[in-house]
Amino acid sequence: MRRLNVASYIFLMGIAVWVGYLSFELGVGHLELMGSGFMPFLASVVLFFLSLLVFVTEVRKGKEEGGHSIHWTDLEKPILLVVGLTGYALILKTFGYLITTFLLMFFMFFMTGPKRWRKDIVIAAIVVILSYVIFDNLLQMQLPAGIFQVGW
Amino acid sequence: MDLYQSILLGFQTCLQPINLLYCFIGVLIGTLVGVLPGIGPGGAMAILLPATFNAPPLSTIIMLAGIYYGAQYGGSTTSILLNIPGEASTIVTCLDGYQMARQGRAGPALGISAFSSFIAGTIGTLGIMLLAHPLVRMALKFGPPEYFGLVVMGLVILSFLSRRSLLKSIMMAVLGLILSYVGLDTIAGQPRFTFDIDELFNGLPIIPMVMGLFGVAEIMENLEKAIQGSVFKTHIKGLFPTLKDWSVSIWSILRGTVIGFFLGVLPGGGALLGSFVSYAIEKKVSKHPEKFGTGIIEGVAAPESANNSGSCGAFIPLLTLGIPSNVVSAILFAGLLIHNITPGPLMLQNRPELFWGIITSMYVGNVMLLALNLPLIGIWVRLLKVPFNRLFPMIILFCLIGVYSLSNAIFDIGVMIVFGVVGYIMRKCDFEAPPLILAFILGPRLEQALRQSLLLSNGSLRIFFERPIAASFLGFAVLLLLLSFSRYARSKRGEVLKDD
Repeated sequence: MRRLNVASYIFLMGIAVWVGYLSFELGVGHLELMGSGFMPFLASVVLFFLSLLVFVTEVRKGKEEGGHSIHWTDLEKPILLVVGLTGYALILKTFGYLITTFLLMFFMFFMTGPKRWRKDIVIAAIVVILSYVIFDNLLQMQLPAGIFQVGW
Repeated sequence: MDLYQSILLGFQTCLQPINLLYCFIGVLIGTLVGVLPGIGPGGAMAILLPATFNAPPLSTIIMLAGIYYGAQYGGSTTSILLNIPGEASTIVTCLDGYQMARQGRAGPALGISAFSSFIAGTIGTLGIMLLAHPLVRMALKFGPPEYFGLVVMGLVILSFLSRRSLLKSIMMAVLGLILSYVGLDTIAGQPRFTFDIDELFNGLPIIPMVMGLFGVAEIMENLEKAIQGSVFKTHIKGLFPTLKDWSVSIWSILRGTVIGFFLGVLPGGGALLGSFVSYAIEKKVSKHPEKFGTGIIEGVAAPESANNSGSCGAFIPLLTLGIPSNVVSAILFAGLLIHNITPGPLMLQNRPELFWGIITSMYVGNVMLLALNLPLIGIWVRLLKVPFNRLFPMIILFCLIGVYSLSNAIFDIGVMIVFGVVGYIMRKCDFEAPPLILAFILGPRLEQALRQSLLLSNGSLRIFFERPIAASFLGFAVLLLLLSFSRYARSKRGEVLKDD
């Protein structure tokens, strides 16, 4: 996974250049009167040179070693989780807590466990209702009701 | 107010029924998250933080602190019975604890783990009581240059003690600093890196960041391969260690307590560092070092006492200097700020009941933990049988509710998801998250101290070298950096020569 490490150093160098540019635009100032961009600029310079140093060291090694190994099949579930969570964030306000969270819980139970969809539906429903009672009714957390105003 | 009166005030405050209740909830949840792999005390504290907005400040902090040291107790159960550390600080406990369980001595292993944790927690609490006053007196003399030096030293020590690459830790600390500058510049009133997004004007929210980097990233990693392992099928009996067990482990407990406490005070130390160092020292001083790892009771007693006294020691920089030394104390820091309380030397002067209430609650919490851990061990063992595919959706749900309820904003959920992915990639690339989070918390204070110092000195950097305390802090930081870089250069040269 050396390639992933090298890519991360290049990415961090890119971030450093970008932040440095934005900080410079903000105004670096001088030691007597530091501008808003002084500290971020300083930090971006340090980040750039450190990233460059580890990048050069990694490239000079010149062989495939170090880092964790990632198999693409291992990434399937983490990616599904991120997709599920992103979808949840996008529709939560519209459809409300009860509907959206039920869908997410069912999705998470279904994607990892043995495919028993009836059981998963029942457990997801119980978890959602219980969490709603605890957090919305008892702890007064104001979870979103959505356009259908589902809730009690 | 002398120490005796202070302690009395602390007990008077923390023994109020509401505080006792919160303390109990805290240690119970702490033990639970310690037992269950996949969620750490930091994540649990971050999840529960929004639920404490309407609670009294002291009760909130007592509960959050209880989660932290409770997790150290709970983590040992999985280490001993499952060979899976519930917490990073209980990794070493696996070595001898699991072997003891395999030999049919799970009971004494769990028992000595609970008792040594209790002894260490008690001594650690006493240590905080004794050190608090002198440290606060010293901190009251600090001006901006001293604070600047202290924060720089803290960040350098944290990177120095990192488990992985020093350079990578420093890179993460610098990235944390950059992220901390998102939002309004409090001195000039100028927005920085906000890109006209309203939610960013107050800066990046810390709680969703922590939940993403630690909670979501951890779950993503666990999802790759389901946690393997089974509860060791043994009848747990004889939880009370025998006289022989006590006689061989008492010195290990005391050594572990002292080592853990002082290493816990260091930035980045917390409970983790002490457990590793105490185990290594026990092995060194033992008459039979070859037996370590085969299931001897000293191998459980030393790290278990060290991680508990370490978690006590970690409170010292937060409560006396206002500087969080690890992620957990950073969340406590955020919890105090939410209640308009600024941790630091003035807290002892302005809110002594709060200061001493927190400290004495740790003692009360340790008593509760002893009562929880021994009789309820069967329940904790049963909890271990909850499959991960049923557990992780619940953890995600708690994270989502916790994050959303911070300000009823979908934006916060987005931040959590983004930092979850970032945290997952960081794990794959061997970058550590704690330096990033601590630098993120300390960034604004670092900038403020630097700006104020330079205003005081009309832009002269000499102010940092003319004031002895600031100069010592910065000198120590430079020394550590030089030491690390020379070690790094030597190891790299060695690698190149080996390749040639």
